[in-house]
Amino acid sequence: MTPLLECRELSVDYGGVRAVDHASLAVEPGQIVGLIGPNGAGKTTFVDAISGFVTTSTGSLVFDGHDLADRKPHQRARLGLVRTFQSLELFDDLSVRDNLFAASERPPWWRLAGELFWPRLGRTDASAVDDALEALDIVDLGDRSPDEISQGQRKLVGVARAIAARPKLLLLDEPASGLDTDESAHLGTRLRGLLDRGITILLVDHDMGLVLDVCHHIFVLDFGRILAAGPPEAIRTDRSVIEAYLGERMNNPDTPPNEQGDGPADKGDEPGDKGGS
Amino acid sequence: MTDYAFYLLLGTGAGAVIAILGLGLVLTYRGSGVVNFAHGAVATWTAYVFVDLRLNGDYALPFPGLPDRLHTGGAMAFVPALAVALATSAALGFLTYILVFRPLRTAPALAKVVASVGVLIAIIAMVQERFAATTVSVAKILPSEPIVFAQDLTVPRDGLWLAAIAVVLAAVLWAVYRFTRFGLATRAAAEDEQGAITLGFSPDALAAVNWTVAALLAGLIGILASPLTQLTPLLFTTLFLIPALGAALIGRFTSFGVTCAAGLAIGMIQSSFLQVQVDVSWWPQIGAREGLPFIAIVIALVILGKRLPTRGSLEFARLPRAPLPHPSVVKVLLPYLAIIGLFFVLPGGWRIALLTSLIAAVLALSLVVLTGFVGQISLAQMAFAGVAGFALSRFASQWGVPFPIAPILAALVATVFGVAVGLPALRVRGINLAIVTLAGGVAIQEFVFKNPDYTGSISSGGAKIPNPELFGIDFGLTAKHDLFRPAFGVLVVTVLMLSTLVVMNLRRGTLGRRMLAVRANERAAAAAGINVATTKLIAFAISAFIAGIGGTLIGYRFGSISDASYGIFASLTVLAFAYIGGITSIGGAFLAGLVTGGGFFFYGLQQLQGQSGTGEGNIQLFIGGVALIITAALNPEGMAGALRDRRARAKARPEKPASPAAGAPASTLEPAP
Repeated sequence: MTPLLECRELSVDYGGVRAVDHASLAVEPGQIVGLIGPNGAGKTTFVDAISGFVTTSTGSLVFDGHDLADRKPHQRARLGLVRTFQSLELFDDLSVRDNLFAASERPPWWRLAGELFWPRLGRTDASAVDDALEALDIVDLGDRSPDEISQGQRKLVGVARAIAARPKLLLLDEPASGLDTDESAHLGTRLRGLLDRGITILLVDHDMGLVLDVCHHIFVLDFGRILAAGPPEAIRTDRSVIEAYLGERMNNPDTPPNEQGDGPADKGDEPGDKGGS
Repeated sequence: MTDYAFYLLLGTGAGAVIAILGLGLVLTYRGSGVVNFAHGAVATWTAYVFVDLRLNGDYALPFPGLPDRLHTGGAMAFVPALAVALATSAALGFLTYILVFRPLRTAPALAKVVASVGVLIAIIAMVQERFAATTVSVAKILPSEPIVFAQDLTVPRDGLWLAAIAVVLAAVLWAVYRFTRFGLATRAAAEDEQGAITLGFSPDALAAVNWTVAALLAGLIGILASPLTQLTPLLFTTLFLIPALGAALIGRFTSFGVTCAAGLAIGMIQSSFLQVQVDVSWWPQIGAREGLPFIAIVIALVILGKRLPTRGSLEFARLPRAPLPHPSVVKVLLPYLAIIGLFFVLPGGWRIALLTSLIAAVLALSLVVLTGFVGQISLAQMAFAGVAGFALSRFASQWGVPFPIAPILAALVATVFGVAVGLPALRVRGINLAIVTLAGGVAIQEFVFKNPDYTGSISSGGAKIPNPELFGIDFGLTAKHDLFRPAFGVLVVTVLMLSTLVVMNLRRGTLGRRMLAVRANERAAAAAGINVATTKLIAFAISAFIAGIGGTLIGYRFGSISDASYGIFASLTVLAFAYIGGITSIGGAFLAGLVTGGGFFFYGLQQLQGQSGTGEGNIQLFIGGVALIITAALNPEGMAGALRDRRARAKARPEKPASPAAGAPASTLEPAP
């Protein structure tokens, strides 16, 4: 099967610092693929590179048969490669529904112009927006303003907005940060539901629980390099992964104790404070 | 070649003025993170104060309500007059910081730009009020006897003196910033205010000192330069502030040396254009001089990426909300018919005031689209209006294009200019964009409006515009014996209603959602598939089109127009009143029209007080400037926002939960590559 997204030997430099170093990764359609790594591993930079927000210094990106080089972020989004942000980047002046509309509408230019004089011309199909709200189970938030709802709800709206843009591949940058354990589990269920809608997912997080739970295939990033790749069972027991996470505690209660035996769950780190926003 | 040497040397005087103003801009920016558009106005005020002291011994007071002048009886001697004038400029700088910019420390960039425009308007209004009648012939201060460089190269000495002073000042400032504790502290505070506080410095005190010194320099150059040229109220603002901004940008608002050198160079190159004009046949006869700083600014900002260094201070506030309008037939038709009714019942003076208000509302609407919806700032709206006005004159009176088509074509010409000035907005934002649009507006004013080829010569009464006629009905303001025909009122209010409907549809539709998305967060908008660049350009186009429509209304109202009809200062007052009304809402544009200078509100006030005279316009401007500062500091949503809040409080809305991450300012985000 041809991968939906293929990154080959991708590197990103910030000044003299190489944040991503010849990383290669492929996402098969119809899967949830995880990208994990300790803090500072280069996960967000990797997402920025795929979505076009930073320039890459080496490597190639092919999405759904399109070479992504020289394509701007909004063009990548229109191809169906849609991302979310780790921090809360909703459009605060628009209602939740209008946030989703802004992402879903793609009217031809003559309707954009005509709408100024005859509003009915601009009536766009609301099905994508309604679908997205339903997919995240937040239909009741539709008419609220983003600054009236909770942090966790904002997070869900962010994901819903990305879904409203009709993605083929959804790039989720730490969607679980800022969510409590229940919300995180709920999100996991919702994400699996998206597969039925034909959406492939690249899930970037350091919440091992969520990632190991829902992903079909996992890539591990450390110091900008792909350290390991494989199905969750293999990643759970991979020595190099465990070493990379040494010092960091595995967040998931059902993660088996690692072989060094120093990894009992550290209760000090509640889910609420692992967000990087 | 000696011709060029002559003009280059002759240009040192202007270059020195630009350089020293530029040094002041750098000082203010390093000291407080404010780009002070009122900097040139401080020079103007000080120069007038000095001249008035020297000639009459009178000291003009800068606030309305106070007595005009303190009389010392007889002309004052040079040294005391200089001391008093310089003390005045220093006090102006100090007070401007303490009263205006200290309260605005954490305000968004737009509020600071707007407040500094408010200061500019207030000072210029007072210059016009106090000194409009003063004929200015200023005695030489610096030695001016010619200096002979070569047989056929003789140049007056004073320009060279000024240049020397500029270089010395730059060197002193450099040394102070480099070697003293004060300079170190200012540099530290510019990098990181919190850090400077923990080290025991007070950023406020540092800023106040920098402001005072900057204003002192402005005053000094104002006094020294006024004998070299003819002193006019807007001299230091239009002629010298823009190139000074260019010089400061080339010095990245950081380097005194580079700023000084760039300022001198701009002045000398501008001067040499006089000779180029003679030697190069295709060289534009008019406007090249003012075009140069604009080009320098665009090159510095857009191509070299020499933007203002970001300051390590926190900006919490975001742009005010842009509420969703809920139009209904009643809400639109009722005021429409009511205003038409007013035109038939009101006496002539009121009709003119109402016209002024309605046209100002159209211009304010153009800014609601651009600033309110997309968060882009423009200090050139009146320039777009003027382009349309002169285009209309060409289309209607020379080519005979009939009424509804001619003004629409004219507004489309303005649209082209709007997009051209908006192009830099794809790369720069905030204060940088304000600088580009201001320079662009001045370039259009000098290059287009002052060129008789485009605008007709002033001796023949400027550019003529015939009355609009549709279906045989004359919609003009004046005809034969009738000076205040209501038909024109019907036309204007109809145009305003149509513009309002378009802006309402815009806000409620796809484009409006995209614009607000771009305003909220450019990165997130791009990630949602929105083309940020196109969205901004569309906003500039629509905004310039509406401003252009406003410009054609101004043209129809006066019947003939000249460059004075659409000056850059008018652009600033358009922004001022739009902001006071409430720049993010359609209702705000109407309130802006209501309170605009010469509009319905002020006319009513005058009628109540039974005043008449020539000074009112300036007092209204002053009040406008002060109101603008207060609005920027206390109530960024303007009058419309205040009314909305009152209604909302009456309805008692649910409490908003605090969201910890909502404070992240969108303005600190880097542009998407």
